[in-house]
Amino acid sequence: MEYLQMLDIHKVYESNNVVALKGAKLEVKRGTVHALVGENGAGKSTLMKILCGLEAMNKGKIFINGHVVRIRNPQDAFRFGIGMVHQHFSLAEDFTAAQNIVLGNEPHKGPFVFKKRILEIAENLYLDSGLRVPLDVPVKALSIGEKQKVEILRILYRGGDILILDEPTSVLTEQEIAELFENIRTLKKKGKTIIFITHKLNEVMSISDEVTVLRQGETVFENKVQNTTKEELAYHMVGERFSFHFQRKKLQRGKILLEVQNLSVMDTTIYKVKDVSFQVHEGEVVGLAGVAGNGQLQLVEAVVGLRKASSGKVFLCGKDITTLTPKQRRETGLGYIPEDRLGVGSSLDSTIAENIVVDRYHVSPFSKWGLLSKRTIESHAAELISRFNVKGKVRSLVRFLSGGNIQKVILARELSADPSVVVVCEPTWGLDIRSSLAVYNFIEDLKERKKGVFLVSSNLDELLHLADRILVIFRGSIYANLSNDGSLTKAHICEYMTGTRCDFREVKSNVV
Amino acid sequence: MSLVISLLLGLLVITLTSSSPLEAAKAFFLGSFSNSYFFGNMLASAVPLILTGLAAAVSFSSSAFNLGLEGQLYFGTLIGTYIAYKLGNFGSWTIVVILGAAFISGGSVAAVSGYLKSKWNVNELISSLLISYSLVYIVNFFLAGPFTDPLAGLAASPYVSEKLMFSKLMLPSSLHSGLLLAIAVSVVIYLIFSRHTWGYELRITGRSQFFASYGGIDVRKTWITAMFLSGGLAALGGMIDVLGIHGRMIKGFSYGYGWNGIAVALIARNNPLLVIPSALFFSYLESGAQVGALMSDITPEVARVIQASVFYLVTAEGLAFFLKKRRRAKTA
Amino acid sequence: MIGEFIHTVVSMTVPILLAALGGLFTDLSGILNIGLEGMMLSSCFFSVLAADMTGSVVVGVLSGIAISTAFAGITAFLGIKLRANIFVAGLATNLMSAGLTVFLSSTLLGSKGTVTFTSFEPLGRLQIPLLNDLPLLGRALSGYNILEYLAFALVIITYFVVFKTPYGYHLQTVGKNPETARSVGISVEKHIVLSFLLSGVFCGLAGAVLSLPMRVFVGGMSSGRGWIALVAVVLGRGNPLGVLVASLIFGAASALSNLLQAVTNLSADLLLTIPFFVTLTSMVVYAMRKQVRHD
Repeated sequence: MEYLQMLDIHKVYESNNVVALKGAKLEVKRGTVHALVGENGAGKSTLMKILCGLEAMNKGKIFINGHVVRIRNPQDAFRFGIGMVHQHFSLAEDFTAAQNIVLGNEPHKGPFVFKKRILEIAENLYLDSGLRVPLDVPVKALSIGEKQKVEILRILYRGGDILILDEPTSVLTEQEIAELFENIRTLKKKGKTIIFITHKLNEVMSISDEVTVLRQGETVFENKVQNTTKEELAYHMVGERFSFHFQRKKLQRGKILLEVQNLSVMDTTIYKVKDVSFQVHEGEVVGLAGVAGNGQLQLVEAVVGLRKASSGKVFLCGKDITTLTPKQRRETGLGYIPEDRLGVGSSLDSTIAENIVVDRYHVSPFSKWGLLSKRTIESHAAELISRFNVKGKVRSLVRFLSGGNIQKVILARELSADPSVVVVCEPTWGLDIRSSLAVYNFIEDLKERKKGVFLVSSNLDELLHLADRILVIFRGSIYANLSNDGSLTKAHICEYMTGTRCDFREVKSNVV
Repeated sequence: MSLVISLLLGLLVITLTSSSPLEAAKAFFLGSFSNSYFFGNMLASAVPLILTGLAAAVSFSSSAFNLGLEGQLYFGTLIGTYIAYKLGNFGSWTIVVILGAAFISGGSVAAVSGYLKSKWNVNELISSLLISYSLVYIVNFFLAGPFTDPLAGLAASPYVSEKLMFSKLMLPSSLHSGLLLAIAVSVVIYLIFSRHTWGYELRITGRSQFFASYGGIDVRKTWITAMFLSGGLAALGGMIDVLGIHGRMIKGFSYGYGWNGIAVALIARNNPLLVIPSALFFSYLESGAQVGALMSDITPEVARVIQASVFYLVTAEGLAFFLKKRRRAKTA
Repeated sequence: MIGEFIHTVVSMTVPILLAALGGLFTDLSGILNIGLEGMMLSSCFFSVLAADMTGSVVVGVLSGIAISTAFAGITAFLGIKLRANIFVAGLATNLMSAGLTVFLSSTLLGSKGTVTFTSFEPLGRLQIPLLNDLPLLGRALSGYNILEYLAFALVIITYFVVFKTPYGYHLQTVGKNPETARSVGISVEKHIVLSFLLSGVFCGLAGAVLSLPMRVFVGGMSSGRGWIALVAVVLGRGNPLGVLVASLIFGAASALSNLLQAVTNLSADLLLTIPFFVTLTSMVVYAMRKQVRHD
């Protein structure tokens, strides 16, 4: 009998009417590493959130060791030994690692928290499991790999037997990934069961024993990993023989479109971007690689005008835009596809039409003498909706669109403004493979039309697909400017991403 | 709906506090329509609420929450009344000047809060309120001191010229042509919201400030302008009341106009046109209470309890509205 | 003389401090309760009324707490269960309290103005023997009624609760990282509701301390103290000691206003604006300094 069974699970999200799961199934054997695989939007995270009590299912049954269990909240889940390490971490940033490990179940002496005991407990766990982490430091100072370990330790503290890891490698460097896999093997030896959510098939093949594939909310394939192949899994993930065929064209690059000179940006009291310089030419895609949190966001915001730079200059088509407002930069020819699609890139409570005209409502033909021309706006939106293949109507609220369609609305607006340079951040995060390919084609199209693209991404495959040159940022400084000529490997880029290697001597000496 | 529930609540209160509830209820619910005096007065008292309702709707739609309406109204009206008193009457432009002065004064006060919010992220809710409390005291000082009418029995300004007053529409009630002005303003605001580029900026800023900045909208300017317009509208509410009914500024004449305006705006869901029926509903309650107090033994405060409970229930109704909106979207 | 002034400062601080401590709990939970003013006002009324009806000050205090907590509970309920806008619900509390107190005052007591109650013993002042005799400070340190002493004790208790107990840890997590709290099994909703109820208790005390000692109720008695308390919460930055300092500043401003009214011929109306200006200036200065650190 299977240790854990989730049968016929249905779930609809109330906030935007999205059907996340329709009859999904998962069966896991004790003491195995089980991979849960599927495209973005297939329902993997939702299924696991139901398992660990963060979401409620509309219909379905969960069995542990043959007994039906009801998991209504994380407390229930903990009681059954189930815990999840989230993709974006659930840690209290200001508390120490030790405090985070016991969070929710602190040892106490009378009404007061027993601080000494916390450290003792944490140390015991750490020795027992082999997961090394500095315990006394506020968690916000830890590296991403260390934060992940804290989360795992927390589950172990609560007596977790089933550990769910949600896309654990998406934010790790190659080195950290290797360490994570070692830790997983150790946990497995101790009899723990591990469910591993991912869409990276290499990892599935290398670390897991069994695999389940979800597609559009249903379970379409289950097998032992040794009995299947990457191709078979990919086929089930997408539902047809979809080969991701993307060929980057090598174009002759033209004149400089975007130039950043010695840019430094502060955030609160520290420098997040230190003396950064680079150029983007016509017909070129320049990529920026780096572990999240090394200054990318601040750099991008300074370039597009949403944040003030402390020093340095930005030039667009030869014009100094350093002190211009976002509106003025747009008018000069700068486009921006932000990382935060929902909070910055769109207004969820506005219609598609309202979203599309935000950068052009004040010019003719969309308005005259201050009066909006509704008809013109709506027909323009309709035209863009069909050109960019957005599944939605002119008057629908953006809130009800899928992630991929929201991204298309943003692309429709930015690209139809005919910018000279587009700054693009994490464009395919959370998108399914078809939408991702569409996005890649749009970017390639920009290149062909002699525009410049500055692509910021934490997805190295994406950068290797699209970028002609790849810059690497570490602690606010550029550590490498690599040509993507076919021989560039992920491991090589990672060396710069972790700060192990740096091509610019002056930079290294500046680093504190 | 919440309006029905709160009316039932009022009925309950009347039953409990009156010795002849049936008579009291009749007076309360129907009394306002029994003759032109009561009816006209009811309409007249809706006028300032329409304007303060618009004031709240404008500010709330932009997500710059102006809670200082009372003080802005009071201060703007003081300035307007003073100018009216000093200028006397010299032609049809005088009234424009007076209203304009009130509007600008009230608006500037509110704009200060808007500026503080834009520049230093000072919570405008609290800053506008603190300024408002202070202004009420300051204006009262003037009404009892430098700008007082020594012959009046209460703290009030001197009368302004008869010729500046709005013409009466339904004697013997106090209904005046200011009502038409209020309705016109409401329509103008509605058109601005839906058709003007500034209205678009306001709405987008209110819904998602970061998206607005990203798109190129000057969010800071939008907030300040929204607050300015909001304070100005509130001041108009007070000024029109003075020029329509009182003829002078009496201490405390507008107490509650600001807060009720907020309630009016919330029931109207910040829609400028719906502010009119919403304000009428409020003044209907107020009027019913006055008539009830006159013709039976209930106290006028009954209206307050109902108004407040409407407010409470409206918040829960917000949920129902949201659910309805979602159901409609599901079928779309 | 100085001792007397300090005494006034402390007395003026206490209602603000109590309301602010209550507000602090809601601030820590992530959702500030803006209905403090209304809750305080309701408590002012109901505590004297109940004390008068039963002849017992204790019943008065408890009634004040009860009504204030009821309002807080309704606000939280509307916000959590019915997913209404808690900010609007807080506003509703203010409006409801204003209307209800005037309504009940005129209906039950026949007056819309100042009402004096006589059927119970006023809240006595405790003179602490040794401290009382100290030359300058004696008047400053002793002679307060029990609620005022309680207020300061509560500051210390609140400090311990927030920083040294599991509840405090959980509350802080709920406010700063609600997702994290939820994933470790801490109920965000329960903590918000509980913090609102606590704010009700504290505002109940605040209202009682305003009306019971003088055995008087005036319409609008809270006169903006609830709003000033909110500013004290913001300035306190999640720390009861910070809230205490801010409340003292505002209490001092009120005391100054009182002093000037008694001692000079300046208009009472103008002097009454002092606390508001001080509060406003503090808010702006605080915001400006916060901004400087960000840029």
